[in-house]
Amino acid sequence: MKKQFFKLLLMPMILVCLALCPVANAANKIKVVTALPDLASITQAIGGDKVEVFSIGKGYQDPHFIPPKPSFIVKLKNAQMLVRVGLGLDIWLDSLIRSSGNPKIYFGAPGYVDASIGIPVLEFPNRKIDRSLGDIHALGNPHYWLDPVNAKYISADIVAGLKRVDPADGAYFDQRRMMFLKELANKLTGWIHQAAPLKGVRVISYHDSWPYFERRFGLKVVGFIEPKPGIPPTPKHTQYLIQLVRQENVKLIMMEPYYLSSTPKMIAAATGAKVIVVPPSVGGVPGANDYFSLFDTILNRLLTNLPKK
Amino acid sequence: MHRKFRASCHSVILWAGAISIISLLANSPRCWASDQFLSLQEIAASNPPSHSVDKTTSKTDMQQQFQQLENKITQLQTSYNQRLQQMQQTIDLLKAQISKNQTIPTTQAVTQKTPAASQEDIGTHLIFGSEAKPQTSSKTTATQATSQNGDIGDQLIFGNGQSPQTGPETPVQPSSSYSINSGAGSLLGGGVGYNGSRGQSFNPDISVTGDFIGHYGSRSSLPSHNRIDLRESEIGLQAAVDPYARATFIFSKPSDGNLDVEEGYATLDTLPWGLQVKVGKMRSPFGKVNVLHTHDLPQTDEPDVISNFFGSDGLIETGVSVSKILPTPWYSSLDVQMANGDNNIFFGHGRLTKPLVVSHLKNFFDINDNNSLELGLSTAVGARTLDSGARDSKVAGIDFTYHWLQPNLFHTLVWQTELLGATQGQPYTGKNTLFGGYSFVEYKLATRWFAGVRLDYSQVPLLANANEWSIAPYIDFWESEFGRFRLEYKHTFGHNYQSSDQAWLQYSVILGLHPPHTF
Repeated sequence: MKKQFFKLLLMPMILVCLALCPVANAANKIKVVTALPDLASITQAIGGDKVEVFSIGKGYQDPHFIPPKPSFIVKLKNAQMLVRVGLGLDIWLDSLIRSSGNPKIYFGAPGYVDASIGIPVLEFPNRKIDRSLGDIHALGNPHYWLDPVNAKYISADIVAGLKRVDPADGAYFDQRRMMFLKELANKLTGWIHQAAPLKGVRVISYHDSWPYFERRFGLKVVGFIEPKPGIPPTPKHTQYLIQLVRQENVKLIMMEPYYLSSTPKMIAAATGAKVIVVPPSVGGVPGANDYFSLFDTILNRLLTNLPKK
Repeated sequence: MHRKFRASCHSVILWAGAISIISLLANSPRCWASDQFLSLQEIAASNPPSHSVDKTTSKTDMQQQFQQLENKITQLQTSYNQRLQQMQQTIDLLKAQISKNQTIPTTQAVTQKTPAASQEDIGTHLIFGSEAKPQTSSKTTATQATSQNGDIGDQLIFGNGQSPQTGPETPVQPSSSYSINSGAGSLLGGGVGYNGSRGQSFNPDISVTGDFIGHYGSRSSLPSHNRIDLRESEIGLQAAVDPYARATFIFSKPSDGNLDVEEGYATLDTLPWGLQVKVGKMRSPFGKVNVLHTHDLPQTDEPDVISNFFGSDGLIETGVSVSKILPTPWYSSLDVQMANGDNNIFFGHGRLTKPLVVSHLKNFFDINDNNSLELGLSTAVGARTLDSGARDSKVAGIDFTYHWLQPNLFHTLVWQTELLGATQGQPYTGKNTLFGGYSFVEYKLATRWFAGVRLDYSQVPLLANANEWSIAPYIDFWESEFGRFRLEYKHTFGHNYQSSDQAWLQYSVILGLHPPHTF
């Protein structure tokens, strides 16, 4: 009886190990895994039909805390290229990369793309920092994709990676990057004109996700719901914010979709400011389906909720 | 009167000169200028002329020294002028570059700039290179909106008003060559932001964990019985050895033991066929809980079955392990370790003549984005040596974990179960087979709060016909990702074994670069 117990356990192990034949890979597209859907959208725009892109993070998830499920290891194991945010945002990716056993995407390998290379990083701490400051990023603010201009650096990094992986299609990627940037430039002109009423508008955001966006489109983020990055709201800080909202005449409270709305709503109720859910990533809310429509959605949500004078 | 004044002036200059020369020697050459003037002024202020006539110094001596000082002053003046000139040149150069690189749509905007604004742009130029400071440009573009339809986006993306096709001035040209550390599109870049951490680049990631517990209860066999204890301090070091391997060393000091190497292994992770080989001392790949360090345990205490079968530290063995992700559509990995077999509850042969072989097959299935299942099988087979000779002991386990995650992680649920069965090669008590298991459910109540309950059943290898049942509810408060409080109560029903009531208050802290916990 007891011996049978072991046999019962060992049998499936052996069966699973030996009886499974490798799954044939017919498609010859470059398999790219990205940390966030924004990077996936840009990679897809550049890679066209030569790439197959999968994003580990989803737009409705907090990019700081993506659960590192083993199913992502399978995606990484089969990938030829990895595009990550870098700057310490996606540290959850490190253990997944290591577990994948795929040297093509290890740090320093041709298929490893850190999209933050070349970005003029904001909020780089110019002194020794520690965790008494909360989840502060030692390499600067990592939410850089929220300035469309930074897409020129992101796309340069991605193209460089694609060329390392697939040098034969280099011209194709270059051409598509130019097309992408031209479209982006067009859109950006529109966005900047559209965003004119946002200039100088004082807002509060939940997390410090918006410095790049803020500088490009002229908003002014005067405070954060989090007392320190990654630290949940406290009653004392909320009281301070209520005062701040009144003092600075803040009309909008921007909230990323992955936070609890209770504190923002409380502040709104106390002050008359309006809480709006603004997606910081592609897929964060319905309608933000790619990198372009992400900015359409963000600006649209800000502008329609802007109080009329 | 006139003479007296002159003499006093000389002496002041003498003092000031002497002090300034000393401070000149003490200071770095870069910042001499401001320091000198400061010290001269300080001396003049603190020594009013009328009080400091030194009568012992002869007139010729004074004249000589005065001459020397005058020489020194002219010398300093010339070098100061040179430096001033250099700075002026740099400023001119920068101004020229700025006016060349202005990408603001209208010339009007440039001419409108006040001196203060252009100074701000020097910093922008230095930090952001050729790109105009985003804020400045957005201000301008917002105000110039109506007059500049169509090309603002182009200018921001392509810079310098160049049309995309003419390309050479495009700010970022991806390099087609494979370069690791320089140029846009390189693997590492060399941006401003990376300078700060460069000095520590080759040091391993260091983490320290502290596990403080207060225990109250009736089980006196525990080292922390009715005490406040630093149950475990742990230092972890991790780094890449070279392009082919990584290494991890974890030193731990339990409250009742000596500082010891808990784990120390190198991982070869660039081998063919996706094989990963670990060499060294490591937590053996058996089930879910055995691989966790004390501070990572889902409850304050280990499940009874783990501590009864493998000891309070768990199954930690020195050997070689080989793992591979199997080519299945779902995640499936096999990890096989060959080790000495030092753990002396079931094994303890301690020689490779009859090695301990531990294996773990892990399968993970995504039901959908929010629900997942993990199913694992583990075995450990090794020899136990007593006077009558070596005989095999076998331990087998099955683990089952269900995860439910709300998309935004406001609430999550984990249900984890492990069942273990064992046969002892040389029974202590004449009883040959043993069973045990645990099952716990943990629910995330709110942003930082978790609550759970664990059920345990375990037979006791060292005692005949002894077993224990227990129930342990607990609640966690995570003050942050790096600090956690936990309160746990445990009631144990012993059969031929000690029944007990226990409670723990635990506070665990993590310092430094601790790898994120696995799923």
